[in-house]
Amino acid sequence: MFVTLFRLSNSHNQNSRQMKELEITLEHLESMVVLRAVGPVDSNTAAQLQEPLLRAAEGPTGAVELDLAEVSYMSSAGLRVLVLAAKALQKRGERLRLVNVPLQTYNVLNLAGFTSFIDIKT
Amino acid sequence: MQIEVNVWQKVLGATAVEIFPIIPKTNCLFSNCYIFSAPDALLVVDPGARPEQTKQINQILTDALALSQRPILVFLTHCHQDHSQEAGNLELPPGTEIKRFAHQVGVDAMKQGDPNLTVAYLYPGNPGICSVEFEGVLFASTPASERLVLELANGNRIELYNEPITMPDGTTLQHQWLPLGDGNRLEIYHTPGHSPCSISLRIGSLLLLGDLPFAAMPGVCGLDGWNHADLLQTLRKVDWLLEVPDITVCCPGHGYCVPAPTMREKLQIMKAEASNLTDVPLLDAERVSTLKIYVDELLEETAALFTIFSGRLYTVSYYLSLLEEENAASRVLATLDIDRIDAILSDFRRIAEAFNNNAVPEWTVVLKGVKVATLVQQVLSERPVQQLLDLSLVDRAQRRLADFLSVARGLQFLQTEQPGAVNELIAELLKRKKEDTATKSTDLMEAVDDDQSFLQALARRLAAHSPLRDIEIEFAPAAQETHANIGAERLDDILTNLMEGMAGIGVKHISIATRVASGYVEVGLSSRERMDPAAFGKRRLDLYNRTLGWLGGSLQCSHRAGSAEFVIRLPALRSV
Repeated sequence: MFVTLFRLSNSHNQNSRQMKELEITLEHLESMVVLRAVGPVDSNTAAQLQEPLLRAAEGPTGAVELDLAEVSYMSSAGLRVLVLAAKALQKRGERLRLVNVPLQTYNVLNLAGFTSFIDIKT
Repeated sequence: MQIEVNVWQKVLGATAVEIFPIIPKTNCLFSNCYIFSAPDALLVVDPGARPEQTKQINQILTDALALSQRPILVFLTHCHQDHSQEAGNLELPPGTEIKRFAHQVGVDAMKQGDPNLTVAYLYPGNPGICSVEFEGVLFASTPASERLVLELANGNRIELYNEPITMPDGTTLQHQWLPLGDGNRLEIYHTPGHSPCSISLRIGSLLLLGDLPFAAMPGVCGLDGWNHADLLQTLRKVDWLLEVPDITVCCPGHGYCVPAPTMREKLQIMKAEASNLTDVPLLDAERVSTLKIYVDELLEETAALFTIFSGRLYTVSYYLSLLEEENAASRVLATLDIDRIDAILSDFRRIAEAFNNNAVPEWTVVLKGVKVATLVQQVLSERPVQQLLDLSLVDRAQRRLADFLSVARGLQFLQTEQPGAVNELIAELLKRKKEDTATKSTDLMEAVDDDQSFLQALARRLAAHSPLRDIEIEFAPAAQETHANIGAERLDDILTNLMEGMAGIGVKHISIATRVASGYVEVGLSSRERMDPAAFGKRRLDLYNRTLGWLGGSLQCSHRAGSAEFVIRLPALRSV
């Protein structure tokens, strides 16, 4: 199995931890890219998720999975990124997969209608 | 005249007088400072509470003194900590004479180290209350004809004249003035309300109002020394002052200077709002703490509702994009200024976190919450938003925001509707929800002949998609009479929010049952499926409990066999 692991955020020093910035870890599996997000996804941090997630979604093949187990909060800026990724994946007939979605975030995504075009698991 | 920040500029209506405004980003920790250069004196109005600002003031004054040696006259528009704290900390070249002026009540409060009237109690860590001597006691309780004379070391004198003004209605506007050279005068008016020591100052075409423009704001009215009757009188008097066309610009204690007509309009609106503010309780430390918890709950709820609103718009845009209707998709997203509101809510969340790290005072969080609530309220009132989003959801959000702003102003929570029989209210609510869904389908069918109308109807339908549409709801009404202290809207707010929350976590069957016991009407809300209350967020549930608490009721959550039941308890009333 081919696996590469990248830590994409440069915010792992103590100060930025205090500010609760977002960290994204990227894992390339054979037929899937898995991204793990740690921290809040809001208007200050959504760009950090957007770049790697869109790059994965706009790639030629493979499923894209985003693990939200450690995402404490997701605002509409985060939802926008998810829609962009879902649109990119839809072009090649794939659906974005969200896994380990915290219940409160799942609730919001569901009420917003996202379960109709994104696979979401708690 | 437009006032620019951090630059000397001429004051219109005065001879050889210049102003240098220092206007930091608006907050409650430190005020604006206005420096004036007049022929016979340099004036500093409200040094503020920020040492960096004091350094800047020192530099500006030192440079001005190098051009012409003059005494420095420091004025406080009132003694609140954010305006006064640094008044004793100016460091100027040796030989510079400084005289300080404030209203007698403020001078006494600072001399006594009074944490209440200076509102130092709102700032944690016991900030030092200004203890420097104020030689110029304004509006002192001495005979009106007497004039205050301050002797300067060089033999010159500063004379403060007392000239009360009789208003057209016969009341008196307390007024003093002092000469600034070349025929210029500094006019001083006593304008209490925000604080008993509040004054307004006029030089040429400028009127400096201190914090009067904020005196009726939620989270500000009710501060120690705030007085409703004085405020209304002052607003009337200042309105009269602003009738004179010579005053062209008004400068507040926080934020930018505005044209006088704009300020006059703002103060007139404020007067109408302030007229209801009778019996406002004291905004003491305990009330600030309560409001801080309330604002946390409210913003959690607002953030959740806003994320659902914007998420629905993103969903609509997604489907319109699939239909290759990119323009329509963009138009939908433009309905709501999503990025701006999101940035504001994220910003608030960070301020709340900063409070948890002891970095900002509680009062700052409350005032920020008021600002955010007011802004979201405005956005949700805009017509395109109302046309596209689920009106019931918008209305629920609006009522939550209005409740908060009202309570933050110190007003009692108002039950504006007639209380009713809970059984009937619930039956009516469930019937209405069914009808809403049916109407939306009809809209779509009627618009099918016109492309634009069809797209709009489709967008509306997608955006307004009710999460309860596919949920089976059973209602078991109690056999007894269920009149209780709640109206249709309030019950709808809480019941629908809870049911939608249940739908959001995948519940498909909801059972509603009413019971009457021990003087209460209870509404139980449960499901056959497993349900974790954590999915609702503790603060949101606390908010519903708080609202019900105002009605004498409560929201409780009991766990049973891996699931949960929400119980809304309401005081039973006799039917009319």
